[in-house]
Amino acid sequence: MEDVRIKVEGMTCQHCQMQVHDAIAVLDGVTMVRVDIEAGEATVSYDSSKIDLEQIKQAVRDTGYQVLEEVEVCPVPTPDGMKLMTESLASMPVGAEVKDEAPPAGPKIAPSPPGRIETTTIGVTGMTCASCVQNIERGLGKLDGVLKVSVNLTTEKGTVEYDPGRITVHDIIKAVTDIGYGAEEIKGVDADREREAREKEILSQKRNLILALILAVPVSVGEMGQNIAPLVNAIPGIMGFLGNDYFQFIFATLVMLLPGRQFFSGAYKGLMHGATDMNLLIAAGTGSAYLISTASVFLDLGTGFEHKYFGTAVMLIAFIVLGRYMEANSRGKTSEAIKKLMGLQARTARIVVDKTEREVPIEDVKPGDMVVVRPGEKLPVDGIVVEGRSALDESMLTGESIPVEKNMGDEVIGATINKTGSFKYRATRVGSDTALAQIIKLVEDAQTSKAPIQRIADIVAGHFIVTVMSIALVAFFYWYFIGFERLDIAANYGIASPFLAALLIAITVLVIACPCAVGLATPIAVMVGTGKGAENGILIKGGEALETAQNLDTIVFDKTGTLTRGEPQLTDVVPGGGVSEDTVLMLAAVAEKGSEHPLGEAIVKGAAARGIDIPNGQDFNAIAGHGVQVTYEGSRVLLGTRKLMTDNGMDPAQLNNSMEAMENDGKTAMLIAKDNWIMGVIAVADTLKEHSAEAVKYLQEMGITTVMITGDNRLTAEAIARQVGIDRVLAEVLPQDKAAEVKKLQAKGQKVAMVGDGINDAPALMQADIGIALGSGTDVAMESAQIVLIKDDLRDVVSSIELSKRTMGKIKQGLFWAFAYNTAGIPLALGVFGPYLIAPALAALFMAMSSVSVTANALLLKRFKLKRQEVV
Amino acid sequence: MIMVVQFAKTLGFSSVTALAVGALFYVLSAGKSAALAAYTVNDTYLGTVFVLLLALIIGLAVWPRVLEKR
Repeated sequence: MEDVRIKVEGMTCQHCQMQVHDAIAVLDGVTMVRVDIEAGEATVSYDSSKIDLEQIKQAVRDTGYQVLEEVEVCPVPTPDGMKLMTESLASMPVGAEVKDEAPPAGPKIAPSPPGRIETTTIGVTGMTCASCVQNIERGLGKLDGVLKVSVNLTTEKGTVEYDPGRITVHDIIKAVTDIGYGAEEIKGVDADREREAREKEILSQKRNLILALILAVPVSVGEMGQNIAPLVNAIPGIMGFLGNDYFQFIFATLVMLLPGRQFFSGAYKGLMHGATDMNLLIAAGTGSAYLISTASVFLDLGTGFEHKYFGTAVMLIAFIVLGRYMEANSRGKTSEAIKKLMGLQARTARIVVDKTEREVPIEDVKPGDMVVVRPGEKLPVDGIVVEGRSALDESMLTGESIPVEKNMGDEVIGATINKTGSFKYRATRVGSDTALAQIIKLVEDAQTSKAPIQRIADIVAGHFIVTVMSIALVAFFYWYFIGFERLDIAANYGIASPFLAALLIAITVLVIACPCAVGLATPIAVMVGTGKGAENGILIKGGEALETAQNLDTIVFDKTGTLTRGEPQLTDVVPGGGVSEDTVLMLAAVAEKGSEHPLGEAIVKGAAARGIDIPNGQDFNAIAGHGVQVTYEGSRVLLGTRKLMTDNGMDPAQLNNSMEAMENDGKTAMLIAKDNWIMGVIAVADTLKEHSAEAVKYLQEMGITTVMITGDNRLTAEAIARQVGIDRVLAEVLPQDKAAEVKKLQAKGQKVAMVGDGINDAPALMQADIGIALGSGTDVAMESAQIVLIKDDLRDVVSSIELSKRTMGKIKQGLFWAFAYNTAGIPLALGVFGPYLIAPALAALFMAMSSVSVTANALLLKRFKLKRQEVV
Repeated sequence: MIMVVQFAKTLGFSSVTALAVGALFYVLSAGKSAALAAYTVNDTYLGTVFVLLLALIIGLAVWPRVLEKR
């Protein structure tokens, strides 16, 4: 039996998915087929003695779709993989033929299996617009062995899924450099490399800008000055010099060769690979102006060609370089969240080597090393306390402002701060395995990922360049043959040559239409949004989650551990006649002292919390299902149910009302009796977390339906729901049925988020449109969810939705303005508005400002305050 | 090798396209030049070069995608 994953190109809808599915499913020898339209893949299990891979691929081709490549199925199902399967099955229409729903065949991985999938992150330099993203994604997508590519313009990173048996990271990097961009592999989290790359880019563009201005201003003044008599008269010597053709030629050439070289080399490299980007537009625009001016300096082109356009060419370069410099500065500001997280890391660690303490760089700490920490110091890595005790400030990771006591055997987390005593701990997780490194990785991945809306913007922008070039060509024809005469350009604008008139308009079109703002609008907003979330303990795993969260209309909360603390607490003590509360509680605590039952522990803790001294009892006897019996000071003490009391000849009627009221509130009520005298009733219950009710109230105010799901009986569930303010309760739901309940809600057209913390919540977290896990929850829950709330504060569910809405708002504003600039700019440049023609240099300024304003608008998101912050 | 063949094909198709558009411009401009004094021979020549280059660039960007789809 063989398993393969085939990459199918051309599927656009569910119909296509079914076509491909059916084409493979009917083949003799195929035992299982699953088609994922989003990934563009078909996963097939087949009997290789009956059918070969080529026949399967041919069957797909016969339906009209292209088969790009195939890989073996990774046999270990990951949470992501589980999600993929769930989604795929969910997307199948009822009645769809699936031959075998059994999981993929078991492991059969050889030392270097051909189907192993690896992911690498590469840093890419030289990207300027969404077209660059498209160029790289398209270029890498064509390579044999590359399965998935996602390039982010703002972070300047690309994530590539590949089959190491068919392609190496080196090949991938070479392919990127061949297209004309810089590329290098990124291993782990390297703050210094990131910072250096950013600073290098800013410095390079700053140098280019200064050089461009120094060279361009004299050329431009010289060009304009010749036409401004007062200027020529005021400084005749200098103007004569600046206006000199040869001076202009030399300075303009320097601008083209130095700050302008990036555009020409970028355009050339790209064009050699069929890639078009904004470099091409700039190079075509400025190059044309420069070449025609140079030709008119050295050749006699006749009437109409006396005027030179060196000033236009150099000012175009200067303005565009100004835009790039400002953009590079803005991009640096977007990644502050990562910088802040990285800043939490300690630089060095003190470890014990040969019984002496030695300070070493954090990179040198290995698992198993003994780490020494003194008061006020930051913990370098994660580990377990082996000697001493202290209190740690974990607020940077958990939000808990009160220091947490740590004793021998307790787990400690790197980047937290030791507040009081010195202690030693054994390193367990170092480097990229620490909790902090994992969080940083999660945020980085989120910022590199794309929101679905960005993919659309990228595709539009990717086709935009060729469209603009074509519009420029058409405009040239029009203004050469028709517009020149119709507007009498020679008389009205002093341009005697129809070629020059048409050329200037074509240049203006090329320059004004650069879609860089379109490409920047989404990634910058996603980056700021996810960064803002990370700063507030909300880890959003990617742009898709950010985009989906805004549309949620139903939130399903798991009860135990999510809405409630997950451990029972003493809630009520009601004494019978003639005794105090403390006496009743003390007797109950005596009965339960030493008990390992959660209810007993809650009573003992409750008594201790009230400062009650708990003496020891004797002859402890647990009466299964009913309660306990103990002897205290010679008296028999009973604690338990009504039946326990009646069985022992007591009548609990006098406390029945109190008991029923407690039970109606979902509490576990117990009677306490001494020497056949019922002394009172006490209750224990799982209590709500501090902010559960507040979070539910906010969500309801936002018009979101809140639902509670639990395995508890209806009475208990409804009592908790009443306390928290939830109207809709799904009680007595078995763990395995939680996902089905979520699915039922989705089937009604609701956009559902599931909030949970346990392993049993994982399927529901994956089934929901958005899974939200609590940071204190299990690893499985956190891996299954798209949003993780590190601070365990349910108000962050509200904050996540708010953040999503704000970020999407900024994305839409950015895209609107970016497209508005282009849709307004192109007709303006084309001269649609009659005699009002725009100068090429002004077009360059217009274009540069569009990128800067879109970026600045997205950065405003940083100032937005989350609701929880306002409340606090 | 595949890349070289692909590029040669692209260049070939792009050149033919550019020559066709350039020729169209030349013919139309020569007609204008004969009728109107404002349209000089230099306008025609320079315009043809510009159109040729722009059409070639467009061709180099468009043809690889067309060939890929075929």
